[in-house]
Amino acid sequence: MMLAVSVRLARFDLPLEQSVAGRFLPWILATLVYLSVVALGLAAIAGRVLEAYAARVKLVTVSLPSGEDARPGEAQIAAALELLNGTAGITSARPVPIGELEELVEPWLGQAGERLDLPLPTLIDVTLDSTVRIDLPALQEQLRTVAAGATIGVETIARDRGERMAGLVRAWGSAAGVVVLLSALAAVILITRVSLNTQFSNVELLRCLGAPDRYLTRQFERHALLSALRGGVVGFGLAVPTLIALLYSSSGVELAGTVRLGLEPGDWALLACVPVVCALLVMAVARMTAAQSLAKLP
Amino acid sequence: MLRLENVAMRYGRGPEVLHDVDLELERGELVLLRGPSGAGKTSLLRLLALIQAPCRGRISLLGRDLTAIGREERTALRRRIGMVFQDIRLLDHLSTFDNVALPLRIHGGRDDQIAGFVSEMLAWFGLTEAMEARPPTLSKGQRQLIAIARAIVTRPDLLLCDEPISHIDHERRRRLMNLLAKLRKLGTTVVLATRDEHLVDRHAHRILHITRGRLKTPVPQSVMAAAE
Repeated sequence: MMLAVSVRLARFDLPLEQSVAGRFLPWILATLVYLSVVALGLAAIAGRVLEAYAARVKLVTVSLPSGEDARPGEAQIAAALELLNGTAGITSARPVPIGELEELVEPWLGQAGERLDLPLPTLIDVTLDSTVRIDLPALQEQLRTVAAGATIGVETIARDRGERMAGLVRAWGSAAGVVVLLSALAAVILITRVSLNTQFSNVELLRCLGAPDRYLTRQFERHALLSALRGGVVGFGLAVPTLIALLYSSSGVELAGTVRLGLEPGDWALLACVPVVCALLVMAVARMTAAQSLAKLP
Repeated sequence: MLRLENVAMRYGRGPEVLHDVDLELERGELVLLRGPSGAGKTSLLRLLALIQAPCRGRISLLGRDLTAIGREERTALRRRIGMVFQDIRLLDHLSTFDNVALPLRIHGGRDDQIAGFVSEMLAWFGLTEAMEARPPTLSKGQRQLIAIARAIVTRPDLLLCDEPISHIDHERRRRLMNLLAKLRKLGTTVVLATRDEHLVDRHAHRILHITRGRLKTPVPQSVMAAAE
């Protein structure tokens, strides 16, 4: 049944498959589908990286400034901790021990910091639940009611270089994938027009034999569809090992700790839709181009 | 069945190639269209085959005014016309059988009926053995016969032949003219364009002369016979 359908689909009154333009169309489409799938695959990988970044716990640091002659009192720190631990979306709040704080400033001040008896602020490491949105400016205002001059220093992963890179790859990959698909459509418009010109005497013959415009447009439409399906299978078939090789070669690469490159089954399923969508668009574009040109004939 | 009134035609924006053509053809008439090369024979046939549109004048075919009909009706009328092109115009990627079957397939015929009609037609033309052959492997005479078979397989109301017998041997030419005469008797109007000044067939009702895009007054058959 499938064979009969494909044989019937592959039989053309116009020798479109014999023409130079027609012979190259599947290969042109294979190349463009390959490029499009690889570009969209990279965008999908970058998208997964961004999701992984977003899923990671975010950290903020609360700073309680020292007074002129002393560090904040225990009562102030306790009140700040109570407020923080009572806020929805905060999974933990831990004061940074004074020893740890001195270690942090040691690279800049050496042992002098201790000798000078500098008024170091009290720092509280706060871990946020990334699934809950917290209004940090409002929280800062609340903190200032219990500890004057308290500030929240945001050290989120959002500004991480890797995340920015992933964002760029996703944007450029998606854009490139779409542009390449549009190029495929432009190629089909061009080749359909060239085919109509080179096949003009045969088109005229079929019209003379009583073929309506829709019969002729169907010839171009079917040829474009078959070319796109053939090209799509080849292009996708080559793009899959390319992406697998890319993922395999980057298997040792870790971005910002735990984020790894990868594609989910859903991503592969969406990428598999690219040649199908391409084939359907190509078919529609070929039909419209042929119909437009035929409508100019008497 | 066909009437042209004051018709002119041009290709694109080029000069007129047919001027003030007035012509009336009856059902079952066989007409020879003569004229030197470039006189306008092919242009007139293309006009009658509805491949070209007139730039002036009026054409009515099978009771329909061509200036007043839409694309679909035009296509339907084309199905009642058979055309043999001067350049034969077979589809080289199709077999002899498929070339002859093409108009029937376009008209939506059933496969079993098509097979019957086409086989019968090819047998009559002596092309049964060439049924599966591709046109490039056949002689020009055979290809011309295939083109004629393709034009008449639908039993058209109007058959237009542009230099159809230039490469056909004498015996086949005689048989072909007999076939055209039979078609004429069945009601098909035949217009046969030729450069051949010596081809005066006893079956022809009229001879039309065309020179520089203008039709001259038809020569009646009786005058032709007297001249012979």
